[in-house]
Amino acid sequence: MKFVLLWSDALFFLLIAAMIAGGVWASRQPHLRASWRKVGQSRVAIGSAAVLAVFFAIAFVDSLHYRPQLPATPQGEVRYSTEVLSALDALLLPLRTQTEKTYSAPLATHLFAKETLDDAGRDFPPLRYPGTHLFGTDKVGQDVLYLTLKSIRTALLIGTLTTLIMLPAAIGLGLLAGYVGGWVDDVIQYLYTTLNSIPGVLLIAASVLMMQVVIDTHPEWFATSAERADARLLALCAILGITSWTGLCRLLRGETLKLRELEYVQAARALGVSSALILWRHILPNVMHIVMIAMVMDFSGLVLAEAVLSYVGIGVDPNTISFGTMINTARMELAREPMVWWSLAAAFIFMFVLVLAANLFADALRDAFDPRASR
Amino acid sequence: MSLLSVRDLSVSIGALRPVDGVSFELERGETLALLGESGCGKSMTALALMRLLPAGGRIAQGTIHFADEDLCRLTEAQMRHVRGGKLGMIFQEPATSLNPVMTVGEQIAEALRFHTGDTRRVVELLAAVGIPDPERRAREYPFQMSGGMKQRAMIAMALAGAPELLIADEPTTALDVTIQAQVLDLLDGLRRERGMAMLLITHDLGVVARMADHIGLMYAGHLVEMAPRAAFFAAPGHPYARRLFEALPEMAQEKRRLATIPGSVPPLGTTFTGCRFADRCSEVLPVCHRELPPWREHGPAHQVRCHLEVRVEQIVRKVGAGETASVGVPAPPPALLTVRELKVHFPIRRGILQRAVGYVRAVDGVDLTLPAGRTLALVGESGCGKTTVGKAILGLQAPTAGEIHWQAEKLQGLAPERMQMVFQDPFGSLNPRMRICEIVAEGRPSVDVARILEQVGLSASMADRYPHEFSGGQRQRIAIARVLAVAPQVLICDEPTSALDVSVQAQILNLLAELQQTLGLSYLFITHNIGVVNHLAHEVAVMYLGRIVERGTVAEVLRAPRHPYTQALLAAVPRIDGRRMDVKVAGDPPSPSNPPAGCHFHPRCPRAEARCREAYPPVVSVSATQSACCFFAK
Repeated sequence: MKFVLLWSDALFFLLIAAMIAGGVWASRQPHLRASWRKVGQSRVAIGSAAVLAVFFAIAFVDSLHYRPQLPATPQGEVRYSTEVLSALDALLLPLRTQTEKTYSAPLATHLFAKETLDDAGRDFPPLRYPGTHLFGTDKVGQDVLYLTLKSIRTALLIGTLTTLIMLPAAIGLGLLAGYVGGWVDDVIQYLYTTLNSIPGVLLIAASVLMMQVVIDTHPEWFATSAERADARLLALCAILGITSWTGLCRLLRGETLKLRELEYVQAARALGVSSALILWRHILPNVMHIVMIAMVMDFSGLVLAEAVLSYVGIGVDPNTISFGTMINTARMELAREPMVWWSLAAAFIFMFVLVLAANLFADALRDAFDPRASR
Repeated sequence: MSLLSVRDLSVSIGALRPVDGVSFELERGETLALLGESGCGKSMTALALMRLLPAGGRIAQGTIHFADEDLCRLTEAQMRHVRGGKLGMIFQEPATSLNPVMTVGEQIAEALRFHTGDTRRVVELLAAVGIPDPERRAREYPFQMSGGMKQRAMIAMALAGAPELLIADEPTTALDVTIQAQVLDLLDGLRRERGMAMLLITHDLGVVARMADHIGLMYAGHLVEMAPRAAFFAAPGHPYARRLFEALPEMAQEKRRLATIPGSVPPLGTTFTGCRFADRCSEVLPVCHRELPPWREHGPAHQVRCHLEVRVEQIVRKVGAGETASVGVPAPPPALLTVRELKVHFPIRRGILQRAVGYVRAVDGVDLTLPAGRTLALVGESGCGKTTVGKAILGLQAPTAGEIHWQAEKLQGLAPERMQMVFQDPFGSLNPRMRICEIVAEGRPSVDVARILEQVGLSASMADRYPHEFSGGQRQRIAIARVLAVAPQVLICDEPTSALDVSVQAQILNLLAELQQTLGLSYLFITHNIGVVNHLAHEVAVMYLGRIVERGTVAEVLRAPRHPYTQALLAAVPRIDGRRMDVKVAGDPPSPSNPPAGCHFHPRCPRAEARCREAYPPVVSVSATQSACCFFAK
């Protein structure tokens, strides 16, 4: 067995490490600890945090990649499979390997469509593993539950990495435009107005196609197909991030314009506090609620955007399992007669739970950390 | 039978009781003033009468009889005819009470259509409230009108249904004194003309003295004193009323400490057992904490809710009571800060190329001198540029022209170690996400926060809390602590008490006087409150439309004003002795982007002559210290 560290894995681990470090730091600050205690007292917060933790744990296990060792050759040479698996695949071995021939409904004992059987004419053939597929199987007989669990990592990566790429630009430029004003404001406004006026999908499509050409012309960069798919996922995050900062930036600019005239900012200026420090101490904490709301809204938006882009054929690599690709195939399945609904239903349930939990948790955080709301 | 008879009215919002057992009567043609500080339940009483309580609020008990009809029993549909038809209401903020996308005429017509079906009376109503050229004004939008004009339009709307009772909730609090005087005159005239009753809600003793026939003093949801005006001002019965009078800066003898009421109005939701004022009362008896005081006859038609038996004859209103720590008036020391020909012009930009087509002359040639350890008051109405002067001196606003000297040194930009500013709004001047220790240490991180907090009368244990936990007065103390941390010599105070209640205002004014004595601070005190000027300042400069029109010592300017504007300004201030001066000023202040030619005040001046329209009057010295920009100053 040989470990493989994909770029996205590294970034994801970094993100989790940063979250843990931030948590440890916050727990050392007495006034922040009081706020966290308030989060702990809210049942909604704890419930949604638990759900989020499960999602992150699944994504974490799914990020531990390796290449299994192949049976030794007669020469005793150690070789590894070109297929990159994750710890989640190992844990879900039965789900991954127990495949059927084609569609079967959730917890069915027989296939979904009649087939000509050897002995008794046309009938529903029995499943190889009857009653084990909680969400049924897809066209090629793969377990839908396995697909949804694998999609979680993709969704979280797109949601979090894109937001991380977008945030510094949105916050930095938004605050700068609002606080400094003048020609800086003009340049930043010009930039985001221009970006906004190009249809989003068109811009993303152009960028993704360019990126695809680069990847396709340099096959030597990637040892395995997993690495290639991973590079494509990261590039997609970057492109989405670069094109989606404008909305938040505009919101923050407006809010900063308002805050700049408030008396506590004026008082700080009169005390001779530097502009950078004013932005950091006075403006940023007072726009964080907007950032938080925008982050959660964007998170769900981005998970959905991935689905739309995959539908147009410019989303993640076709080999990558994601909610987008699942919804994309569900389009054909819904048009069938009788309808195959469980792929879509499974993707829907998981996405819904993820986005709802993120929203509720962000709400609880905002309430706990707003000093005005505390009683 | 009285027109309005309120019995035992209580309002509850969830578990809170903002109004608790209030009873009063109001006759036709009379004015009853409900007086009290913020949070005493006066506005909530008015909203209960209109049955317009905020979400979650309801009338918990009591009856409201209006012309023999029980308002509490009416259906919502019947109530709609009562609102506006029998009870009219005017709100505090004219700017937000009018719909900005409808013309004023349409909005009045809407009220007319509902109550009378006759929409032709719009112009007649606008004329009745004294709006000049009503045909044209009816077609204008609210943004084209000044604040006073908007409040007049609001009054016209309230009059549309020909109400028998007009409820005015702080009708002039958002207006300047000269405009306030006009609106109060208008309301009084309309009441007399139409025989309406009026319920006036206010915190301003001056307005009460000017308008009311009867007075109901409220404290923490209770009525604590009911009296005819003359009796109330001659011999207030409740200790709270007496303390309110003593806390007024205009009542105090000059330069003495003001009497203060410790603490602030208890928050809603406090549970009381005895008298609600007991904790702040200086004449508290043991029984006050145990039993709710009963109503006692104090004089003819004069009732007080207090255990303490005080006869009218025993009350000699102690004007300016309190400790007599005199500040003293030494001879003026040499100037610390000198401002010469200060100008701040804001360009008005139009068109694609954003070219300046004109300038708003917010400050247009101001000279000031501030000696060490003294207080200079800069007085004027809103929009006259006084705040801009403060910001320009401080360096927050780059001046267009002029020089600022610190002794002999020319200042450019900020000088945080020398000058600091205390702002008006105690809620906007502290960052809600910073703790008190961080706020105080902002200018100088090494400062001893505990010592500074004690210096401004707060306890050091408050350092770890957030601003929202403090009342307005405490927040203003924190703001003062923040600037004291850098040990400046000059404080520019921009209306530091105008957002505070009278009793809290006295606390802050005393603190400022004390700091001046101990630290030798100089204050540039920007205000529109003449009472505060009288109490705190040594010199006064009166500003009108970007220029100083009169200056001198407090005694000179306030007792013997020479400029007609100063005279009008002083006459417009409602006085609590009810005396009125006959200098009236008409109209609104003109726009600083297009000031009138000649003397800026001539369009509103009763004495204007041809030469006033032609040239700006020169500075005329009246005495060694007093001067005015007027041809008639001599």
